[in-house]
Amino acid sequence: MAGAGYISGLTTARAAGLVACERCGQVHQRQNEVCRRCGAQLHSRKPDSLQKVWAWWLAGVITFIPANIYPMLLTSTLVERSESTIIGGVFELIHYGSYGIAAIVFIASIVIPLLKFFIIAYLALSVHRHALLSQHRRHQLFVFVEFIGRWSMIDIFVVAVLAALVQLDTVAAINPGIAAINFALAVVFTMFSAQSFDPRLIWDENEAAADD
Amino acid sequence: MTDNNTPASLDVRRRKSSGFGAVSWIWLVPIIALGVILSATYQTYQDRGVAIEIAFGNGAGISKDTPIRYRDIDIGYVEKITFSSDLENVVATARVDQNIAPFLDEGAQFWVVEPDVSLRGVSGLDTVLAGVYIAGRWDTVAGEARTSFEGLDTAPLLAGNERGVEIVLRTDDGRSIAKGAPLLHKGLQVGFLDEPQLDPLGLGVTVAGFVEAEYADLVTTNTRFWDTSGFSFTVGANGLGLNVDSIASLIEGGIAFDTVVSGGIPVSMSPDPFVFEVYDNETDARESLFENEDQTLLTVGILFDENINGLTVGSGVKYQGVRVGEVSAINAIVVEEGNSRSIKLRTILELSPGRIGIAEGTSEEDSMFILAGFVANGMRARLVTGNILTGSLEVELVDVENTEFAFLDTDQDPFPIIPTTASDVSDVADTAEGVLARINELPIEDLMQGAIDLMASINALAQDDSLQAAPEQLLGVLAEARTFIASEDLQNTPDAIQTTLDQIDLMTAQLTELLTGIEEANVVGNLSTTLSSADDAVKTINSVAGEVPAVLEQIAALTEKANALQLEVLINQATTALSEIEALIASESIAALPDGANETIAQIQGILSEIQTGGAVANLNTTLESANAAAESVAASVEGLPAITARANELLDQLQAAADDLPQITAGIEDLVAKANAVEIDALMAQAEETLESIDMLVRNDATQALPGNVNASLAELEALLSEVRAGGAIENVNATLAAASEAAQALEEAAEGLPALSSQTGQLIANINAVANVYGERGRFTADTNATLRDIQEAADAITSLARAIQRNPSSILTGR
Ligand SMILES: [Zn+2]
Repeated sequence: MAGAGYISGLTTARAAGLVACERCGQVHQRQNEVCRRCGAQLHSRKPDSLQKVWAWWLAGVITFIPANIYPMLLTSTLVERSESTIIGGVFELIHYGSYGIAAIVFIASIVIPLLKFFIIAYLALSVHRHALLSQHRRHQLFVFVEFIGRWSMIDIFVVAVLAALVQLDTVAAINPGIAAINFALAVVFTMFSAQSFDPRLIWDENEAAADD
Repeated sequence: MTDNNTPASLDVRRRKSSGFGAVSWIWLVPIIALGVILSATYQTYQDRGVAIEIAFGNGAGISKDTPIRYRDIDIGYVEKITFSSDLENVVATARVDQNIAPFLDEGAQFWVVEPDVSLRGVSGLDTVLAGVYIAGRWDTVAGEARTSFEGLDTAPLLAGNERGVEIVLRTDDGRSIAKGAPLLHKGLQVGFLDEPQLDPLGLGVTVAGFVEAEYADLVTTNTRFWDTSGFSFTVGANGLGLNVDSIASLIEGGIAFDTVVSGGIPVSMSPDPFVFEVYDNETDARESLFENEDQTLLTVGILFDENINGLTVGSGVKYQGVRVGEVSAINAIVVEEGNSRSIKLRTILELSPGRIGIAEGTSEEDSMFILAGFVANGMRARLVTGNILTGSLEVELVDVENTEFAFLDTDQDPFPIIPTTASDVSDVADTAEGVLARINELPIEDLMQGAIDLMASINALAQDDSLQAAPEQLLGVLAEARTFIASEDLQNTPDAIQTTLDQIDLMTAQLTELLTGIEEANVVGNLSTTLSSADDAVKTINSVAGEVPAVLEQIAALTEKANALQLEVLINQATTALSEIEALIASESIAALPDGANETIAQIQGILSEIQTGGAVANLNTTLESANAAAESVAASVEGLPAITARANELLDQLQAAADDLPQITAGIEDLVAKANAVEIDALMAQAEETLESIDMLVRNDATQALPGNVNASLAELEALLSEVRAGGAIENVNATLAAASEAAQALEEAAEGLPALSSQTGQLIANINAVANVYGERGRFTADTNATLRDIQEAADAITSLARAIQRNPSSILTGR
């Protein structure tokens, strides 16, 4: 039974003429526009969901580019003064043999943000097109993106802590670069983008197929 | 259950219109983000600085991120280092602050700052640790900005933050000057010198100098510079001189300056650096002040008859003690006078017209005319001694009064000839002879004669008959007075008085009347006057006698002075004293003294005779009244006699006192003569001659004459040594050492970078070994030893790690040793 519903015979709430309040969970007839319990707007699907996804996604991409071009850290010591970008920092860590930390930084600051962009774009695109992955896999991707979003801020935390701690006047000082704020914005925008995505859209293709 | 499945009942409410249509407002977010990013990017692009290229001869330690500094503030960084296309230069491409870029015009200079060690201190030490940097210097006026520059090989004179005035010094010899040498004013450094450079024509050396702003006004067009480097040892008309300036200037050379004459224009007003000559020494520099180089020198000749040995080219020409020129040449010429021809030495002088009072700007002809006027008024040339020891001569122009007329012989070719006058040359021998001649010329005989005359006069006075007779006459007076008093008439008078007592009473009034008459006749008054005259005379003698000790004092003083060898003065004073004494003795009051005394005595006698013979006794005998009156009168008169006697005695005493002083005078004069005799003139002469001979020998001694030469030679050697030190690269060696130290520090740094890895490897090794050791399983001796060894290694590694960390944290500890 569960197996059959799992595959194709799934009936969506919308198909059943129902709509659930997103705030309190009260189920209404689809004709209802406002929750009778809590007064929230009732949407069978988030309005303009894909537009919002794409808008936040685009803002994220825009801010992610300077985040990788400009220096993340401004390190000045008595001897020298250096600016390091994210990717430059990774290479520097590799050069000094800190492969583990290099990997962490690389994954947290490069791989995950890029992965999020691709996943969100894929999810948003796959709503209206034929997707290679099953609906369940795509839903799992969405959950993953939502979960992983907060961990992208690890870079920002490192920069913030370093900049706060290492302020030894002329001997050594670390200051955040322009990239830091761009990176933070990119992460925030990506999270907004992911939240704007209505995962119910994933399942709508069944309905559309059923409608056909 | 069915309730649960039943959806909520229908409750249709209208949805509020969003009012945004199909396109969501959310698209504003990426648009704003894009705008912000783009504007930020543009801003960054704008602010990234202006790219410039600086070409250096060699890299000298510059690298990517080497800062460019202006007034010690970073204004840009090197972005990359490349070679020029022909590999001739290293081209550093850098970005500099946008605000600075407009000032980087043609005048901008760049150079690499490296550690430098010189005698005056160490500079650029910070670059040992922090690496070299590129320093820049440019003016504060924005010009036509450039982006390509030639870097300087060495730091320029001004590093950019000093303010002051730049000058150019010209000298014949750059050997004694090194870059950075101090410019000294009154011994204090007020500036420094740049690298000496060969004159483009090869005629000399020019060196740019810099005077700090606060001292800039000290340098005027009247300022003179001279070389103070090393020692200088001079022997000249001014005597011996040894000058040693500051040690720094000894090694690096140095130029001092001073402005003695006011009125110059400060060179800071000049747009271009003002050019100064550097003189060899301070004396030349100061003397040059009086030479106006623009003014043409007057060239005149002199034909000296005397031996001019000691006069050389360069000898001074003085006028009233001021140097007005110098001897420019000495040569022999043939002079034809009538039929005879003779060879004469012609000395040619160059005179500065301004220094003999001829106004600036006067033409040469006019100057010569004025000079001719001076000569017509008595100006003559003569040789004078410049230095008595070396026997050097100078030419002096003197104004001679009442001289034979002479004129500036302008017919002589090529130079007019100034007439000469007797020379005032005094060499050592001449001077000694002069001393002797002066001693010879002392009028000692006159002195003796005067003393003899004086004593003769005093003797004559003492032996004068009238003076000797005075006491006798006085005795006579007294005797007569006694006789009178003892006369019978007078003795009998009391009896007569007794017999005529009544008449006495009767006659009292008449007697009174008579006495009044006598008083009116002023007999007693006359007597008093006479006596007071005598008294005056005596007093005069007395005062004269009072002066005698003063005379003696003077003579004694003279004697002392005679001992002090001021013979001329002594003679003058002695003569004066003697003439005073003579005048005193010859004075009328002294001459009149015996006469006056005699006269007084005669007067006294006369009075007594008058009293005796004037009929007073007779009248007394004949008329009691008269007798009484006379008796009273005489009694009154007699009362005055003791006073006379006393005064006469006083007179005698005073004369006696005067006579007592005479031996003293005589003794003093004898003393004087003895002392005059005792002046060991012969010995003096002998000593003077001896001294002079010694001096002469000293001067003639080869060693003495060679002394200045030797000293100068030694000094020259020392200077040569110093210039070797300068040229031999001692400082460069130190710099090289520093560079090596810098490299060592770099190597150390690299090594330090490797240390953490080393220590971690060591730790790993230890862990491995530990693991191996554990395999043995036993806590045997081997394991324990191994563990101890490993712990030691671990500790050593830790120590190295901590050292490495310390060095990384605080690199200056390498230098400070902490
Ligand atoms: Zn609700």
